Amino acid sequence: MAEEYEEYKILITGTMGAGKTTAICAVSQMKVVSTDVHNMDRAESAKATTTVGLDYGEVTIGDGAVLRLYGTPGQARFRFMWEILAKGALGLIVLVDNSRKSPLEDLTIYLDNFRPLVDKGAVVVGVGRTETHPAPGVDDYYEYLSDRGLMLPVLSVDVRQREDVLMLFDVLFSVLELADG
Amino acid sequence: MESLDARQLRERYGPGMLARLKQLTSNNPGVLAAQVCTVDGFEVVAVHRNEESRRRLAAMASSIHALGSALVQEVDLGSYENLVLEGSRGKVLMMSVPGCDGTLLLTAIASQDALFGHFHYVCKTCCEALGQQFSSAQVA
Repeated sequence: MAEEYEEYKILITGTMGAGKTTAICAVSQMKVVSTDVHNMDRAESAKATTTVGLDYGEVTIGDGAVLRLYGTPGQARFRFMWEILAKGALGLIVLVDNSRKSPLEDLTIYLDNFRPLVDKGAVVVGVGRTETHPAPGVDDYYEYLSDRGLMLPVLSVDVRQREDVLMLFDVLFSVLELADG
Repeated sequence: MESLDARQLRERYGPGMLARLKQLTSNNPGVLAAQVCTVDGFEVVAVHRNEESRRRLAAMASSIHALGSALVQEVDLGSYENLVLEGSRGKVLMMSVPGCDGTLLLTAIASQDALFGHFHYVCKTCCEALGQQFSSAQVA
């Protein structure tokens, strides 16, 4: 009989261009299911394509558990997909693009819209493009979150790097264990 | 097709597209509403009363279209052509508009009385007419 391992649904969200698809592609051990289409809204982002449905990939971690990774569309008009994809999710990674105009305000959008996971403390924030856009710094994020009564881990990451993405999952599982007591 | 956003498409092709959609809904009593949206979820034109619902419909059509395309690709069935959803009180049909590099989608809503074959036929005809509009514009 085939050995059975735990499976966990992990959601990855953030603004358009924050690196959700890239993060999943960086770690997935299966061919990533992608729903990228031609991006016609160049005012929002210069990216050639954008995710409008979901991204899906899988990665097996150290103890044999399988993480089922779901990437959401970034734009608020796809909020209905956020609600659908959040069902049954164990935890959430919010990716923030520090090169955008108001990254802290961007973060707020996702924290507000994934409130049940935020309230459970099942969220990790990954800040990207800090090497070219160092401000706001990680401390600014902590202060911003603290002002809102939130204690969430914030990491500076390059989601093109597999190790960085795996680190986000490691931290997520650590906070989940702490939350479980 | 030249790369245009939803607003530019509306300005350049809106009246012609809207005329096609009105033709689709007025000539076929079972067809209740129709919309053309961009593949990334912005409304271009619509014959539909509720403005908020139109915006949501455009985003949903975009997502479902993309998921349908991914599924067709996954099971190796060639290129995605259309998708039908049947509810207890009607049907929704989503089609890619030809001749515009897959950047536009037609979504049409029909009552439960509409015959599926006819609904599909009139939507396909409308789609071809919409696509023809782009081909003509490019030639001109």
